[in-house]
Amino acid sequence: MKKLSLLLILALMLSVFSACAGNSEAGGSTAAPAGSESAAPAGDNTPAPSVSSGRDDLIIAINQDIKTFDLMYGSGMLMTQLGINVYDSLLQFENDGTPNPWLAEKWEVSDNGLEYTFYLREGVKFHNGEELKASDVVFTVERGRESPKMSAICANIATIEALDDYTVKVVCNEISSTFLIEFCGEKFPIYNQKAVEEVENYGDHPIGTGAYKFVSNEQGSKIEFEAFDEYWHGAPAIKKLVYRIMPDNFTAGVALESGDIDMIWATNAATAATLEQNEKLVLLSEPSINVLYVAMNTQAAPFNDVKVRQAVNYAMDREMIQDIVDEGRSDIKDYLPLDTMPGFVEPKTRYSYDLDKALSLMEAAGYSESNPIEVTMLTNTANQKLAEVVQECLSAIYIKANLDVLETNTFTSQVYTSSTILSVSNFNMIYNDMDMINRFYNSARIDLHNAPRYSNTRVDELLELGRGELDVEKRREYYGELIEIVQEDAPYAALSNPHIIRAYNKDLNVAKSYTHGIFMFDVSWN
Amino acid sequence: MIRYVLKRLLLMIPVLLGVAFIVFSVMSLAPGDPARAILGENATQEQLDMLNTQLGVDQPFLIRFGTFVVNVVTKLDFGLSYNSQRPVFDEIFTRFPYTLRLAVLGVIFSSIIGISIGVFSAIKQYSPFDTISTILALFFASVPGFWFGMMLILLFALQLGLLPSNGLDTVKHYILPTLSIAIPYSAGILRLTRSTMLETVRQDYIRTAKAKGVTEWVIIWKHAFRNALLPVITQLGNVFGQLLGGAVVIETVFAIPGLGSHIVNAIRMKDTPVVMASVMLLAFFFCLVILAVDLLYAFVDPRIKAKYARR
Repeated sequence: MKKLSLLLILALMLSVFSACAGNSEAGGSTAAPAGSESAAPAGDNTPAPSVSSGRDDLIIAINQDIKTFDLMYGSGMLMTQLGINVYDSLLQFENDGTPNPWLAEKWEVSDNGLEYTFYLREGVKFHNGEELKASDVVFTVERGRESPKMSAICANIATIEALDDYTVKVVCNEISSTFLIEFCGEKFPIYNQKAVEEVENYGDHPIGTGAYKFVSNEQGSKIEFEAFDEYWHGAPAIKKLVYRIMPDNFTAGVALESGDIDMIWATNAATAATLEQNEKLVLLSEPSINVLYVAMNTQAAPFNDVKVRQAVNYAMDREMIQDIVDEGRSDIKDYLPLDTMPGFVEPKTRYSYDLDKALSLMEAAGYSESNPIEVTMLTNTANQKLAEVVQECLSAIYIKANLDVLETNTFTSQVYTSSTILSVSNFNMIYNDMDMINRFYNSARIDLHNAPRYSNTRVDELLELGRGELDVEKRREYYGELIEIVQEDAPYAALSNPHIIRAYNKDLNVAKSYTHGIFMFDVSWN
Repeated sequence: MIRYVLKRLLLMIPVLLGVAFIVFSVMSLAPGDPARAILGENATQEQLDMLNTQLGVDQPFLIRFGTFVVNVVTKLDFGLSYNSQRPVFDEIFTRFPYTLRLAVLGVIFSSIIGISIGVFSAIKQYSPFDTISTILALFFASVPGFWFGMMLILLFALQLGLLPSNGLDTVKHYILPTLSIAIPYSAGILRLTRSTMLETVRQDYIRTAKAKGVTEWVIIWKHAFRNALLPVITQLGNVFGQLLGGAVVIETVFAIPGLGSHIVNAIRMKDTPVVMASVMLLAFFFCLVILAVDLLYAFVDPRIKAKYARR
């Protein structure tokens, strides 16, 4: 009896165990919709050895799950990277901001700068077999108006209409030098009306005109794509694209070295140092669009005094930040905009580490060792290390900053309120244009994105002028004046521009890496 | 016996309700705005307010808790994840099997290693075998699991290239994660087994058995071991519970899509539906494990079984 019961228990355990094993294989993934099932690879993918030639698949490590493939409703650089596999936009951008024809073969701008006419490429197919029509572009804009991510961009579009199947006319409310960037960058993917309306759970089954068809998404584990053979630009060289989710940099590094994976989308400096030693790998360390900064509330004491803000700028030991926070893999910054932005002018007012200057400014503002400042400094978990270094720098100029580290969502809901005096954070400059700094300095953005609650009527004016101006030289003039004012007023102390570090097998040809990621169409094996 | 099991199963209801209440309160007290988490940084205040109303976040605490309980009890509906907008239940059940399999494997292997070596150490007390195994046990009990996992990866995956370092696709993939869970835990079980065995073999009835001329093998496995097993079973139950929720680090190091790392992410994102559902699931399984442990006592120890019979 006893033995029998023990046997039963053992059998029960085994059955639970095997039931689970069956479960995950059957229900573990969200399968692709009908239509793209033809070549869906079955079975497990035992990692191929890194004997390069002859391969047409690619395994890339990413560090987190993707919320949704409906790009209008998600956010993050990673989603953009995966999104550009599936979707195309009307124009494709070079890193310097020049637009190239993409889904639109050509475009015309009316003399008054308000009307844009796009001529679509003919015969472009969506993954569901539908042909790209002007009505899809109209549908995309109308759908975008509803989404929190696109509504701001679409607001400037007064009307959009399909003149015929391959011609779209867009009328803007006001002249915008950033129109092409906002509307046509990789942030504005073209959707297929039929697919969005017919596919249930569209965010899990995206359909676009891109080089890769979505196959499956096994949460926490891997995301698979396969080449779209009818891609208008030609069939891509890599036929099967697998993104493995590896939250740990060490794990991804080992997997790359042992040939389990072929590429790491982004890794950290510590892992990069190990990977650098490996001759079989290529390490790509290039400026990202991420800028780290301190924001000071210009409407409340003590930072309503410009001398204190300038002192903070002089007190930042940016080289130490580069060494400690970015482990050397970053560019030092003392102004917010990126040098690559069209319209960028290098400021004349610069801040380098100068403790004497900082101290004399503090003393001029009435602070001293016996009369120090004590404030709360907000930051999020991602920037804790940076904030600790900033705290150290501030302590040298009589500012005692008490660190309050919040989870990212809580931080976002608190950092733009009036009660925040001092904060350390970062921002991804998703639009490669000087107009991006509008969110940092425009007084209309107070309570929204303008953390220092900075308000200067001339700056607001210049921001409007810069956006409404199409002439390149005029724009540079406006932004040149603007940047001197904001450098002088110093509501922020910009700190650094960390590099994005990618690593991949040296037998891979990676033609080009954009600021927003790697266009997988350009990748092939030697 | 069956009545006892039924009674215990019924008792799980108030326990789970209590767990739900505590976790729900903690999640409501924590700062943060679910609408902000869903819509992102660019959403306007109106969009945020609208979504919060839609989610029912602006309702009073007790009403929210009541709605949650009613939905779960009547429809087994834990809602949509704030973060991914996917049904929480689906998300959890794609991940839970990995966690469960690892936990079961971890318990099986740590008990095999821990108990067998523990018993032999006790029998051969002060022998070189005992000394070496005690020292090793002390070492592995003190080593952090993730470090041990990393070392295994570096040796077997990178240097020797024998085993895959990440994922759980084939049987081979299970070897390293199972070892890095089983070996540190088996160290604890080994020490416990050894000390309880040492205690038991000094009891009078063992001496009597020896005096009767019973073979050593029978004395150890039939008389001493079964008595020494009770605390070890309790410990195994605890280990299983810890592994269900706490293998986060191992899951991260081996890139396994388990539940542990999912919960940690959900807490970070203040994704209340995911946290609630995962914690409830783990609590449910933990209750089952504790029940199973209590029942195992009965099989191991006839005295306990007799007590059940009387009830």
